[in-house]
Amino acid sequence: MSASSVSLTNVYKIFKGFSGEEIVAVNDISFQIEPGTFVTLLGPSGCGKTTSLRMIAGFENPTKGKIKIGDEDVTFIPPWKRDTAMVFQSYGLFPHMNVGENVGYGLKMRKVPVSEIHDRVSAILDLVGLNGFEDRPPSSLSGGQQQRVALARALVVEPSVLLFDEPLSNLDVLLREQMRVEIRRIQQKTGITAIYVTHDRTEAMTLSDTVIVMNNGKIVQTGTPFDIYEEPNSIFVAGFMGKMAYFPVKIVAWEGKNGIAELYDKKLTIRIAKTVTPNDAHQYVMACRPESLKIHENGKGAVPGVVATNVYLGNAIESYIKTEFGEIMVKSELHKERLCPEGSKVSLSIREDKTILLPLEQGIDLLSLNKAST
Amino acid sequence: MKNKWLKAILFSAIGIILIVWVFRTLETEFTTISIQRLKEAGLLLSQSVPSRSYDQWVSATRQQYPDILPFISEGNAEFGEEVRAVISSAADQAFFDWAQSLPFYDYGLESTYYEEVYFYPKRVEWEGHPVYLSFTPIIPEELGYVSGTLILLHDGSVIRNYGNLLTGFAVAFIVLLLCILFVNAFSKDPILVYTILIVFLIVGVFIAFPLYQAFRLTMLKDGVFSLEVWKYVLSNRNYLQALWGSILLGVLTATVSTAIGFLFAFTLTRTNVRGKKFFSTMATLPVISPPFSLTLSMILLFGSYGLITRRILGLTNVDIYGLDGLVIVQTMGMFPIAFMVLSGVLEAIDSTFEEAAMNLKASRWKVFSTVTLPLSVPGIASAWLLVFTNSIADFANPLILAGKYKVLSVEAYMEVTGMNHLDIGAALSIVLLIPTFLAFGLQRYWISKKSYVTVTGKPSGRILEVVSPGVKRMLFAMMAVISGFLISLYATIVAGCFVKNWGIDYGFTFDNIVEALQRGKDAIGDTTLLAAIATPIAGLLAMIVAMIIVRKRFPGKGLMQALVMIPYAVPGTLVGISFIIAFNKPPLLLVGTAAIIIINYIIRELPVGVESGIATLRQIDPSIEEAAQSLGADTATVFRTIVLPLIRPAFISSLSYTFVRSMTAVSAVIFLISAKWYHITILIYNFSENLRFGLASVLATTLMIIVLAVFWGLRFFVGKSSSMQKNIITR
Ligand SMILES: Nc1ncnc2c1ncn2[C@@H]1O[C@H](COP(=O)(O)OP(=O)(O)OP(=O)(O)O)[C@@H](O)[C@H]1O
Ligand SMILES: [Mg+2]
Repeated sequence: MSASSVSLTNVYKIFKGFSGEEIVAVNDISFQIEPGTFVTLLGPSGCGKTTSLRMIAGFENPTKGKIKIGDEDVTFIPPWKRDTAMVFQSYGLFPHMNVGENVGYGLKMRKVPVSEIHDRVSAILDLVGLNGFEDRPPSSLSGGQQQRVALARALVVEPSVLLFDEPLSNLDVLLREQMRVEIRRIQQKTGITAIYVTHDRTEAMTLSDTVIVMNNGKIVQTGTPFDIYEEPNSIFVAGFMGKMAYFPVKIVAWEGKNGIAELYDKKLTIRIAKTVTPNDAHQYVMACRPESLKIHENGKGAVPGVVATNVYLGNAIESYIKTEFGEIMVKSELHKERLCPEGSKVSLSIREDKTILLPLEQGIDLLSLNKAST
Repeated sequence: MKNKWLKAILFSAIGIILIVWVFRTLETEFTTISIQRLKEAGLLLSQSVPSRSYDQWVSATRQQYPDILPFISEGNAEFGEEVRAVISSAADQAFFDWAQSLPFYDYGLESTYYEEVYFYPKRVEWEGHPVYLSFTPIIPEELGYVSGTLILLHDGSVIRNYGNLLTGFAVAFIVLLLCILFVNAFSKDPILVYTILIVFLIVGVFIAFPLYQAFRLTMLKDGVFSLEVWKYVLSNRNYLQALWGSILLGVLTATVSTAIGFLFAFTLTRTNVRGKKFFSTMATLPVISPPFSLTLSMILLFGSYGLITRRILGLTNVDIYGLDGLVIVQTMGMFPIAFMVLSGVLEAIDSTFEEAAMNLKASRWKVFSTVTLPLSVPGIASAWLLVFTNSIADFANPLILAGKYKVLSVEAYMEVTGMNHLDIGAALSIVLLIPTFLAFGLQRYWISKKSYVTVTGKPSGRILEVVSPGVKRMLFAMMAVISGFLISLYATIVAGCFVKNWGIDYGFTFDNIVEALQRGKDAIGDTTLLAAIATPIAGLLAMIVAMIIVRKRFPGKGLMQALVMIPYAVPGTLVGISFIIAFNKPPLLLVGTAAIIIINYIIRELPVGVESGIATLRQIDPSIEEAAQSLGADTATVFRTIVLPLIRPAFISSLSYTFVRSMTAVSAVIFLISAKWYHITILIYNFSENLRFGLASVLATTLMIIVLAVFWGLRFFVGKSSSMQKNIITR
């Protein structure tokens, strides 16, 4: 398979609403995808992920901007002339054709000889684990099997880019995890370029080489899953990737990428996220994951508080600690910690190496940030 | 992007130059040849000019060659003779006054003195006519020298028309070329753009244009704007009477039909009487029964020589012709419309409402009058309106059965075919539109808002008997009587085939069948052929339009949808009249051809096909088509391999609908038939008019057989694919 690069340059998509108002679905996005990589577009509902993907597939015309697949400018090329194949959330299987005909459809369009179609269809059905399903009508398959057929149908034409729009969201949790592994395995095996749209961060984390986080039609951060999780560049990304605890701090000094932060009367040395440049004019918050906080029965920690609730999760325990900055969740492995009973006075210590400084945007209320659970 | 512009402009420039060059050359060539011929004609003519007393020759020539006007100038200036224009009338004088002022006049004369023909190569305008001027020497044989000049005015209109035609073609070619070049260069999906343009062309030329022409004609008098026609129509007592007649007929028919429709719908959905299948067949069959068939049997049974009225009851002065007969016939033909609307509505009303009322100890009558009836009021109203508009637009039944009773549709027909008053006919059929539009507006803005019933509600399948056994028996009896009446009507037509001379001699015979098939075979063949041609075109076109309306975004979509839907609301009479108004002159000279009938079928049945295509397509997940696109199928391929198979039920039902309706068309087609292309329904009408009821019966029966065969044949196909339909409706 010839994997291709994909690049978007200053792409906009503006829809006309019902009453003629403009809906800016995609607002000036640019990115470059290297051949053979698995890239995820991640973001909350309505942020323009699907629209971006559909522009790459050719179903929508960009209002402005340029899209390239490989070296070819495809901005004004219809979907059927692009070397892409898409896997849809609702599968989009042809109900009037059996599995074999569904999978062979793209090959027929490419005028591949019948005998070759047959061989390639069974080979690809093998790959997705649906050997011998050729003659079944799609309606007789389970959701997971249908999605495999859809995947096979897209893969069999050996597209230079494979596109996914939330392909797993119609499946139940177990099947979803299984298919996730499957998709990653097949992508690795075929070395195809894949662009995957989802609003599920776990999917994005487990599948991708690169995650592109979008919000309000814009790209807010691009990076490896590790970077996005550990080094978010904004409160939005940090929050979107999972529960965070936030503490407002005063930066008293900068030491290169490290800020000396004052919290109560303690001084902490916290690095600023890789992608953020220190700026004295900004306000900052300290942000860390719940597993990077530690509960102390005494006043050893930096932040005093009272245990509000303990939630037992089996392998871990989540404690909600009431502090001046709202209710902060701490996640601890059960066997390592002694459980502090609800109502006891405690303090929280923060692992400085696992904590970063994030700029605090105007108008964001910390109390509500800490309350919002994800 | 810039490159594309350059390329498109370059190619269009080259194309335009080429086209202009080719057409110029053609035109010049043709003009040269024509001029050469005119020149020779002049020379030939000049040899017959006598040496004196030209008058007789001139008038003879003018009679013989209407496209040449000869004038004579006497004398040869070369010999020092006096040159004198031969003038024997005011027209001659006018000509010479004009000609002598032309700059080449003297030169022309002079050339002839040297025995040369001078033909002025440009077209000039003379008294509003395009003409060519030639100067030919007159050399009388007895003299042997030039004695004068023959000046000829040649009619230039043929050359001019040819030139205009060529220019027209050239412009069309250029427009086409520009379209193709620019669409190909700038559209992502040229096939789609062409499809949209072609659909617009079709609906523009065959829907908007004729209606506009019909409307325009009513606003003209001798080619200038005038309200004369409307003044005449709206002040004429006859027409007002006809308008009132139509409305009264509509109100009566709609009321009775809705009552009967409700009777059937209610009994079949709310009780468990026996023979439901039979009754629902009876209540739908008349929809596809050919026009005139019920009228015919009414006349056979109740006419002045009717089996029942004359033979059995011995009445001599009964007259079925008129309002009462019309109401009966229309009701029998149209109560199925009300039935279908109402059974849909009643099915959708969940019996739980009624159960709840029963639980509250309401009596059966109370339940009906306080729950069932109020809930179905919007349905009743729309059924009533639908029958009303159908009755008003009906043409076939009143044509035969109205007698002295006047209705608008027949009046319009009489004006057009009887008096050749196209403008009045058009105006009358436009008046016919008004009640229809009012009804549509009422339906849209009032009834649909009052509707409590969500039609998506699934029938619960449970039947709650809201009537007492006694009432049920009564309902059953009423349905049985009506069904019996309907059956006897149909049986009468079949019987009519085998009776020697209805009303006089009830002897058995096969002669009718032989004669009717003999005389009608051409009409049957024509009708079937034309319907068979129109059917696939209409079906495909409807599905294509449905697909672009549901799936594509393009400017003017609302307009396209509105235009496509217009023929649904417009009475056939108006469609027919507007077609003969619009298509009776070149380049769209279609009157008298098979094409105009086929196009009429297609246009008239398009809305229903499009509607059902749209409804089906809306249920299909668009990602199915997108998946096909992303696998390499272009728009046409997606339509062929995905959309059409998926909306097959809509496609096939639109095929059967178009075929049946085309076979049984009357109101529009009656204006469009010609000696060459006849329609079986019109032949039935002609036979009935001439009291050849036997022959009419045979043809009506034949038509019923064809229609039923096709209808059930296609039903069979649809039935097979209905299991597939379930799969299409994903989630
Ligand atoms: N055809 C359309 N017409 C008008 N607005 C549209 C159209 N398609 C999308 N939008 C709008 O554009 C915005 C982005 O939509 P998009 O489908 O790309 O979101 P998304 O990120 O895929 O969300 P989700 O996770 O819910 O699928 C939304 O506000 C949506 O309402
Ligand atoms: Mg989406």
